Amino acid sequence: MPKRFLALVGLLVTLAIVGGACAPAAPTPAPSPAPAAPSATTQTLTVYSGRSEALVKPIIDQFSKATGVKVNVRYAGTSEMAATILEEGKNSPADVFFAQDPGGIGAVVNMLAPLPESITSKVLPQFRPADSRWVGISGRARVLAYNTAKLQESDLPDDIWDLTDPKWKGRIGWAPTNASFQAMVTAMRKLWGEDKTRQWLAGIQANSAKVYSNNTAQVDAVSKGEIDVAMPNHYYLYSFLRDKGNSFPVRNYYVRGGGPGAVILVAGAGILETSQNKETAQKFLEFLLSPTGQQYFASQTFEYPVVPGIITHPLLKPLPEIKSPEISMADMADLKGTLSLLRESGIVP
Amino acid sequence: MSKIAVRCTDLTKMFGHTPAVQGINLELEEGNSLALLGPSGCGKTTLLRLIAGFEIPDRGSIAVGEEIVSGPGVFVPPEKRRVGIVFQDYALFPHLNVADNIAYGLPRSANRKARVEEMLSLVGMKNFQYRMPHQLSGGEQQRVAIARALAPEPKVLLLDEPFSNLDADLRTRIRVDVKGILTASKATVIFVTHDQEEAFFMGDRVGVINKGRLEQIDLPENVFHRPSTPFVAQFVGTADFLTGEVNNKIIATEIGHLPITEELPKGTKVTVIIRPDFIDIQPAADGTGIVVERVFQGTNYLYRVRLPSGATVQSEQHHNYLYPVDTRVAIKMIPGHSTTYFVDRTGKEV
Amino acid sequence: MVTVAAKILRPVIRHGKSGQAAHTAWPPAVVWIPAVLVVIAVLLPVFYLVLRSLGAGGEIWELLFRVRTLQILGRTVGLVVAVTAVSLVLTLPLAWLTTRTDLPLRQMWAILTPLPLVIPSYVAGFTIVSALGPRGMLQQLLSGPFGLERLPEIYGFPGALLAITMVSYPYLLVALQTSLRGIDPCMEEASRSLGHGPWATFRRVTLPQLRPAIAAGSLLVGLYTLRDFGAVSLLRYETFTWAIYLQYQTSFDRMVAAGLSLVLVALAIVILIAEARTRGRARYHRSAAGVKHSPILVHLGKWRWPALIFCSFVVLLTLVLPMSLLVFWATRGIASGESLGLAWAPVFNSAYVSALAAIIIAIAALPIAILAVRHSGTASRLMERATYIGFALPGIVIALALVFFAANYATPIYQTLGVLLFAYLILFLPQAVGSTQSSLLQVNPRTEEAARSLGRTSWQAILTITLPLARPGILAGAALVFLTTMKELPATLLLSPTGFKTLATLVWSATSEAFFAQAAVPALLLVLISSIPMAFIVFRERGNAI
Repeated sequence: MPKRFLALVGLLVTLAIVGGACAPAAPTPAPSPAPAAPSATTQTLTVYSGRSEALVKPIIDQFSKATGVKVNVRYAGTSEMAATILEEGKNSPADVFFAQDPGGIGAVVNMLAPLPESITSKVLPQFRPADSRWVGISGRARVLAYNTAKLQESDLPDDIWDLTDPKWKGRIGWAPTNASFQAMVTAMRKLWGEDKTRQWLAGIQANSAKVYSNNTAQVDAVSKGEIDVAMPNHYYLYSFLRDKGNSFPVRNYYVRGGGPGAVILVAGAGILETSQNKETAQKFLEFLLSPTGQQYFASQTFEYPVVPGIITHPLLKPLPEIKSPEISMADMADLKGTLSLLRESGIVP
Repeated sequence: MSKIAVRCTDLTKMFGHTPAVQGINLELEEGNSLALLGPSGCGKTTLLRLIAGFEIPDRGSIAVGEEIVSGPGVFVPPEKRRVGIVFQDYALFPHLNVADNIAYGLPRSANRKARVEEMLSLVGMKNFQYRMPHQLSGGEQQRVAIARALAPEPKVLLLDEPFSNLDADLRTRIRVDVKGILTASKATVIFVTHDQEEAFFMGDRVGVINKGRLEQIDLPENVFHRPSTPFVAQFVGTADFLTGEVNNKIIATEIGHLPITEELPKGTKVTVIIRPDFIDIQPAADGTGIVVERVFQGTNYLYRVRLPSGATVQSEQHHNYLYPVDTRVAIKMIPGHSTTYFVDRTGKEV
Repeated sequence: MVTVAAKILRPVIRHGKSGQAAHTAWPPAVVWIPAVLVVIAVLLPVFYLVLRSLGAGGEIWELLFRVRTLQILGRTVGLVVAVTAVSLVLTLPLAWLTTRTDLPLRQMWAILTPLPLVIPSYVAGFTIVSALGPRGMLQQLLSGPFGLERLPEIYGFPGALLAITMVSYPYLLVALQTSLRGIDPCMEEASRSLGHGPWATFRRVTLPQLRPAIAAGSLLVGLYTLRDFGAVSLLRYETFTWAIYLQYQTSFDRMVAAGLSLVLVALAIVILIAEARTRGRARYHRSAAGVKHSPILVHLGKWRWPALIFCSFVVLLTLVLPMSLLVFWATRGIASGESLGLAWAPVFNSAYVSALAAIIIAIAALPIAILAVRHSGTASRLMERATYIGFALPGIVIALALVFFAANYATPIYQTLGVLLFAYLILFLPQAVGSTQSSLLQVNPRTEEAARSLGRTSWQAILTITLPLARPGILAGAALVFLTTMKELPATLLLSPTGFKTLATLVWSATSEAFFAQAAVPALLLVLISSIPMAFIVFRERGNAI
């Protein structure tokens, strides 16, 4: 009796593992792991997305609908995805990597295939790197988020440097482990130089800035009056406004004097060198950069389009009005230097 | 006259609706030992636990020495009773060595170490004092348990089935050792067993318990020869029961007449106890009994004989007398045994 | 015969008399071959880490020996010690009250107190922030009547301590409750009859016998604290695990991450050694004969009220608060017309993959547990200890190790359930090994020998005698694995088949934006489903109490 039971269990386990990979557990079948029999006409695409499902699934579905291409998407954090691609090496099943930030995609840039002119030329030059291995898909602005009950826009400094003024002591917050923040520091290094950036970091620390784990937490903290000013990206505010209404006591301030505090960052995508579906992958990128794709990001996720001629969301400050600094994507990918600076200052481990 | 060490009065303990101990009265004098004998589940261990203070009685009272320790409105916790107990599986503290186990119940004082030494030599475990309990044999563990319980000089020592965990050959030897230790320590002892031989050996007096009731408490000889209930008769020693009828100071049974000393009305139905040494059997073609079973016991054979009524009696015969099963035998009473009988009241008590 | 080896090694609760100790005979092949295979499998991530950190060159040493690294090390050790200590202080009275006293509604408390184990640590973290954070529930409650504007800072050490203790103390509680129920009440009675009161008896007799349980439970709590990411990141306390995540997140530097992970492995080994030391050398057993009766319950008297308040407070903070927060978020979301968009597939997937993991891991734990219990020796002990390494490593490290091995050396099964289950095996094996072991220790080895003497092979004896007798522990281990698998996130995200969604990944994708209704509903479902096996564990323990 126990023997038969065990035999049954063993059988079930074997069946479940063998069968479980495709039916019935997985709603979508497992991808063909390594495309053993490649063909240029394959109409499936594997996308590794570091952007969240809520943000990008609708537009990917639109792509499938429009082209008949079946897209398998894996979602995880951008950095986890980048590490996964690095570990997979030449056996990566991914065709496209869609990253939240330039640093993430920069980490795997050696594994990306150069993109054709037809794609890169669509994108405004400030939103693509010179080596054309990836392109920006949507942009977000660095802002200062402030509590409207305590401050008015005019109280806020002309330049982000001025947050080091002792009058901000105990009133500011940041998320130094956030990739967008680090990208802003990269911009500072390029625009201000290492020394001034180091001084700025020290000044913010001296003002005992509160540390948050991400941008949502920062904005939330501003709304609760925990801090007066936070340093997030512009669009976190809009999800709060959607959830909590216009009485939500936080607004964005685009640093009026420009400089690194007003830098615009991009989410980017590239095609893997090892992909056997490069044509389909290019179609996918073209779709994301098409008016349909760009309009989606502009109106649904409150982001900035990266191609000319798209109307931004009425709540957003129009792109031309932001005094964003001129800085090359290649410079923006230099995360290593930024990290050693942050480590040296004891801000990140 | 020596003082009373333990007195139980009308002691009753229920587990749910099942009585475990019912109206028990007993007294034990200082320095004496009492063996409580009974089948498993009869309530003898519960009685010990009541005395030790691990159970609260539902009725009745317990006195240890002069002091009432359990009774209406009184409950002295176990640690204040000065009642020592040796558990069936000894319950030595596995994390303490032999000496520390023995010292456990002693107050911190100068002569603590001396008392441990004394106890170690009493139980003959001097060379084992740094051993851990798991490194001891069963008999050694038991001695440590006894030493541990005796060390604080309890007013009474309780032993719960102290020999049941030992091998049969070891048991007899250790029994002698333990009796020696207990006698030497002059302790008052109550111990519980289901083995009558053990009870007779260890107890100055023996109490027989059945279904929570104390059926008889007496000298070992009296318990054996003058059982006060059919249960005692059957549980202590081997006994068969025959029905008989009183007729002029004798009881007529199907194997013959037995004398009685007492006046009983003629025709009273009684049950008589027949022990295997009471009767003799001899092969006879016209005998009334038939041998149905023969058990070799070494010196003797024990024969079971069926009577015409269907009842059976047992007879002990020297091993020289070998009768095969189915032999027809004549039955004769051996005179000289006092007759024990019970007047039937319900007619089904046997 | 007690061999020298058996005396040196960790004490175990043995069934029967002293003579039945360690076997020195070579274990049967059906046991040691699978055991060795399982251990090799479990150590795969360590090979990976060594491989990766070798690639880093000299830079890694510079990084590892920075003052900052040492600071993080100090913080991590501090948190491990504090969580373990607080858990111990919390669970000793809880375990005692729920097993040995006439506490009102004792059985109910016995069931409720271990339940927080099913709550994912990120939920616990959110609960702490919402309840005790600035402008949190407590502060709002106090600001009215007392005009309190600021609470003591909850972020950092206090918050992390609170959140991790909340979700990990049940490991210790269950171990203590089991052990308390298993201690022969005769020991305590012997102590009472020797003149020591209930408190002295607890301190001098019960507590020393709880040592193996305290050690084993603290081990799981300590290793869990090393591994936790959800709570420390939400409450902003930098531990090693957080530092490792940050390496991946901020610098994509796998070599440095691997180096830091190896430090974590070293830390886990230190904890494992400490645990072995704590257990002490004595071997505890209950002898075979003698009827074990249920212990007398301690009468609490007027202490009943403080005891009730204590139990209510623990259950309120660790169970009621997180659950009501989830219910609150869910209902608020539903009320505001938010679409919950909950499909059944993730619910099914979660239950299915967790059940599979439970079965596989319970089976894999068997040979290791049998080896450790029946063939106690240095090798078997080391093998058993090795299974704990994976439990101390952050999920992402295990996940990336398997990405590397599977994508490059087992390409056909990469991104199938097989690899995911393998990751769960590495992460959760010790939970099943521990519980199987404790059950095996209760099985008298004589019964197996009886089977052998009746003509069964060792394999048949294990199958027909050992397994049925050890079933309660095996099932409890499987149940524990089930509920931790339900909560697991990083390995599930990186290794599952593409498109395979579970409740945990749903919670994750909802929280990457903000933690509202869309996260609350799957989180609630996750907790409810996990409560089923948890209830099973608790009921089994109660069943054993007789």
